[in-house]
Amino acid sequence: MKFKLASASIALYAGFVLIALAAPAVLPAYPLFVFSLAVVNIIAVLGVNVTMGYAGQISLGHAGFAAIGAYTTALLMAHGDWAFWTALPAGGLLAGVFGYLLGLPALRLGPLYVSMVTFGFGFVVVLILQNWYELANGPNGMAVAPPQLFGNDLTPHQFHYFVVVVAVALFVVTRNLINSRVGRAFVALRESEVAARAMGVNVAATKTLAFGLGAAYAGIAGGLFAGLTQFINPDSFVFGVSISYVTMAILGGSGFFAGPIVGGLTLTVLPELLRGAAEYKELLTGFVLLMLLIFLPRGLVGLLWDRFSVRPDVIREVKSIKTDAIDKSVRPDSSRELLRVTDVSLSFGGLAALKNVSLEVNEGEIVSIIGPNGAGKTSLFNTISGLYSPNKGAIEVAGQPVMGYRAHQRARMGISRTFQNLELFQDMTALDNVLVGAHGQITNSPIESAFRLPGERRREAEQRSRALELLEFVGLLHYAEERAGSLSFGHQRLLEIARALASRPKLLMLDEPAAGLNSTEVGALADIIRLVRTRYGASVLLIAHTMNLVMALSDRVIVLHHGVKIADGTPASIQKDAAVIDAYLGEVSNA
Amino acid sequence: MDLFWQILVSGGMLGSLYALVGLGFVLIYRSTRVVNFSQGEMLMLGAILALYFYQDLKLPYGLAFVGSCVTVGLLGAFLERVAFRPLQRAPVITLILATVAVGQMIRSAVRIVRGSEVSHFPPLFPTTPFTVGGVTLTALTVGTVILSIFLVGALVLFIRYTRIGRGMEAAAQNRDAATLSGVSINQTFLLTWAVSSALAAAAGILIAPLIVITPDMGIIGLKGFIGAILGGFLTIPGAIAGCFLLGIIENLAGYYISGAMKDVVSFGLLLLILIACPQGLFGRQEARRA
Amino acid sequence: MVRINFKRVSTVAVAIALGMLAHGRAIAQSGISDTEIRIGMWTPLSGPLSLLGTSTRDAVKIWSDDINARGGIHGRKIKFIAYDDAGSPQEAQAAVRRLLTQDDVFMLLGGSVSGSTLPVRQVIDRAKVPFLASISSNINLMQPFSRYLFRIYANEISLSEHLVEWAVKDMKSKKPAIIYTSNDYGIGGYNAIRDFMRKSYGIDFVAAERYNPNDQDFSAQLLRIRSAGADSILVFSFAAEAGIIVRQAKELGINVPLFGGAATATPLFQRAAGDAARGFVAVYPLPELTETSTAPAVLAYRKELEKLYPGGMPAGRPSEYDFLAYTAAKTVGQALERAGRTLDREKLVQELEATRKFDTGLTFPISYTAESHEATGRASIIQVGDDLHWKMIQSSAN
Repeated sequence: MKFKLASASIALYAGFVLIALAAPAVLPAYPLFVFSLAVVNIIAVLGVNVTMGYAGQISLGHAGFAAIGAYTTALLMAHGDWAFWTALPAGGLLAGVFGYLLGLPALRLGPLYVSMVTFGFGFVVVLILQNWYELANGPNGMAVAPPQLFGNDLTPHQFHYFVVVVAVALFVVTRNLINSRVGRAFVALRESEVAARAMGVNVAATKTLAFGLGAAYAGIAGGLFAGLTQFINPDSFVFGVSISYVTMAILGGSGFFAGPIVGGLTLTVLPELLRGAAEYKELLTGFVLLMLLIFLPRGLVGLLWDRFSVRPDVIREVKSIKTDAIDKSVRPDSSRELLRVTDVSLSFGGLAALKNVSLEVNEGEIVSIIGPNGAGKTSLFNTISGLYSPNKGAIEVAGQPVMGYRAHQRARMGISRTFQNLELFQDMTALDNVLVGAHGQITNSPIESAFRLPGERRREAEQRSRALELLEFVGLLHYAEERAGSLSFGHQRLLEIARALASRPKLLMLDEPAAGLNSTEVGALADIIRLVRTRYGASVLLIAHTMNLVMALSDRVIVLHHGVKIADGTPASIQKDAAVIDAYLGEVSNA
Repeated sequence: MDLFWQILVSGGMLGSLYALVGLGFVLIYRSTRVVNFSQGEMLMLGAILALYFYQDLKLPYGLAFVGSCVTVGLLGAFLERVAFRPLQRAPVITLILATVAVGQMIRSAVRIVRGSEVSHFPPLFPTTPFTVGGVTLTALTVGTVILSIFLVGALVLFIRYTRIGRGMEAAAQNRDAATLSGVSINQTFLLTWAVSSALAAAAGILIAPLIVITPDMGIIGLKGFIGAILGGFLTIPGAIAGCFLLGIIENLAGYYISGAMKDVVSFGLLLLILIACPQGLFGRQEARRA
Repeated sequence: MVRINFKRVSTVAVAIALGMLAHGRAIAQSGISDTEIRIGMWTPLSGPLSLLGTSTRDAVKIWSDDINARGGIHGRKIKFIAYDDAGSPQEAQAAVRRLLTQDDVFMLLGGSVSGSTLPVRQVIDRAKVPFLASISSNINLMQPFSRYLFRIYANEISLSEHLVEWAVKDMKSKKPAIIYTSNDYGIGGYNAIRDFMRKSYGIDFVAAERYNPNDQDFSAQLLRIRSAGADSILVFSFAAEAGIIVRQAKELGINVPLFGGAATATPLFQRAAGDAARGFVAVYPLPELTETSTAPAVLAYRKELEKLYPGGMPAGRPSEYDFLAYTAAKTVGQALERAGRTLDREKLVQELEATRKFDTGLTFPISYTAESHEATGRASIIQVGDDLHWKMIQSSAN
């Protein structure tokens, strides 16, 4: 199955590349030009797909990045005597820097503001190019000398080959990135920013990288456009161009690898076909676009994907995994303190969620936190994992204060967690979810990933087999290549545990892992939690309402009530505690 | 000094127009989370229809005004039903593109019908300038500002004190809670589109005598939108204040820096403000996700 | 995981690519056959600039239909191909290549706005296909000189000279100001006027204010002009914006004479400006007013145009672009007549260069030489009268 699909797509891509390369031999100049233009657009759309499709960051300003790439290339050639071949990457780089800088304000803003910031950016780039007459003739535009090779001007045919080669190279790089640590972080960001942070993904770095990379691609597309048409003016990069890039990305299939190819080709050729419609062209394109959005929301590739995709089968691969391998690097010493929370208080707009809470967890210990709804249990988790900052108090992990660290850093220091309301990366496979959990474990840099350097391959393979092993551990190996969102509720809970374990946590915080499970599933869960301690050496902090589970598993139980810790002791002592019975246990039936 | 006041007053007047057009964006966004790029086209259509009713059909001004608002409001509701409701669950960007597509269709349809016609809506008030304390004004600009303020005030009252308005507000605050408390989300969205489209039409009719009616006149809507973001998109008073501020900043930048660079300056300012306070100047926290 | 072995794919690809590099295709076609001459056009037929494009297309269509009805030129009928570029440079790039290589046109007529004509100038020049432009007035279109590019329009410099002469010499303006748009038309015009005024009269603008296309408020610029104490204002922008500018100027109490570039010299200006249009003066590239002229050539053209639009004439038509394009087409026609039955592109260029005082009655007479491909330096001065219609007040003799 796997090989069938893989070879089918290889055949498709290879076919496309062959057609693109054969085009000059058979096509007259005009269709060839349209073809080259389509490939240039495809590169820009690839940039949109990275920023928006994978990382989920809206950009309405990609034409602005293309303009920066085009003008940088043209100006370096005209005034700096640079060759096209060196000016082009410089243009891409500068566009990338602008994208990176634009990503900075976007860090703190919601999607609406990001869309307006990027929109405004594209708008201002054109205004500046138009008004800065001394830079590049303002609206009169500037001619670009034809790219030269060995002293000869490149013919349109040769330039077409060059454009195709650049496109193929960028697609290979993108493919590598998307299947690596960075790419998984992009998608994780899109699917759930909170979970990404808790799994050790540096959201700030990832977002700015997504913007920078997408912008660099657009910049390269701009430089190629300059080389192709040999004339650029501000009108070539107006808002409508940004919109058409985004349209190509959506129409092709946002977040699909082949999306830019399909979208870029279709929408470069469509206006050529509609040229005869003259006065009615705008109306028609608007109508066609609207219909596509309504009836093909996942784009053309999405449509095909939903219909024909076959999940590869990983079972074969797993045969070689030693599932009984015990992680010997972490041997818990139950006398050593792992987590210390001291006098933590947290309030939201005057409402106190936690009041002077202190607690400790030793290595290898399983501690449950119980309490009625609104007692502050999840707030405590969020405070420990760094999603909330407390008003006062201190938190130490293995003797090291963690207050100054952000969520993703704390994840890398050994704090991992699951979420009460399930924050899986719905659109990723189960396997990729677990691999995001291992984000902090993999040290590959984006450069290593982009070129799939040998060390990167080895580390990826290691993490991959570890991830499969974790899936096996929670009993989800057969679902490794299923979309996480398509798993049953119980399986999703287990997948979150596997994902949380992937970061090799010292402290695993499980937020109501039993909620919504039936009694058989709860039994299996209890076994897994016990094994977490013996096999992975992690301490477990558990929020649960299911008393059977709490009493059977816990070394110790902590009771929270209205943000105050009212009891802390062995399960047996808690069950007898008058204050606890009064506040909580009396209310719940021993389910 | 007189000149400074003149710049402030001219800017404030411009800002009141921005507020009028910006509010339509805010209304739709608050309830439906759609950034409606076709709002400007609704505005243009409102002006053109009113001109047609008033000049070609010789209807009285009031009737032309109401007729145009109702027609455009119905169009808004129709679009919600056929184009935007099917996309309710689609990603934000898909909805943005859908509104761009709708805007383009309206613009090109108008162009097909009217060609490149440019028209000027006859002013309701005299345009002879007079001077108050060194500031030059006309009855037309002052009258338009008063009408704008009146319209904005009426809208605020409408939201606060009518059932439809409260439903819109409930949907804006919390979609799930609104559903639970018996507000039909579909019906509310339909009404939101109708009301904000009608508002856009009203804005277009009021603004038309001050600018020109072309298929592209809706571009002024974007200014209102940016002003609303500047002030804080999610509160109506914040959005209005932001629009006034944008008008004034534009005029100050245009006078003291450069006319061609005023958009660059005001955008730069917008960026700085958003970096410093991500909810806009007078805004409040947008509900955090998860 | 679907992984693609790009390495293998790209090895194959590079091999194929290298094999093809040597392969080139020379296209040397003529654009004519025994029975037809293909004439191409790319122009904005959709979008905000469609008035220009539709006027230009209709004019050439009227001309070619007329020629074909009379049996063509030396036995060849005109095959007229027009493509929309929506005023977008990207689309213009593709459209022109389509005309040059796919449709193999003999020549190009009309063209698009400067923003979508300048980018393809080089492509046309290299293809050695004659192009007679009737829309763009940008100076850069004709610089550096190309043997294959001709223009029917007076360029910005000569139009501006007429305007400046009227303002500074006839109206005795000592402190003129200018407000112009930051596109190629506005900036090109501003530079030309400023230089000419400085050189010929030693006068500088007391205020030169720029705005961006699509701006709808000009109070900041007008206040700067007011503060500078200007005694006249030149409005170098398109009709719709000019309409707002003159109204806002009056509303700010600015009561100096206002005058405008050729783009304001259209009936659309009064529709945008309303009553504030009265007294506005503009330079006009034609000797006859398109809207009101009763010259026989104008009446004849209008009759033909009405046939194309039985449902009623579109707003603003016939425009000056109708007349310019129609004259361009007829100029080509007379050159083709003289060139005779044996025809190639070089011969057309020679015959175009031999055009002397060719007069259609719609524009100023057209003359070209081997050194100058600019048709005319002449222009008229027109003014909006009390009845809100343009009136001819001066028509240049040279």
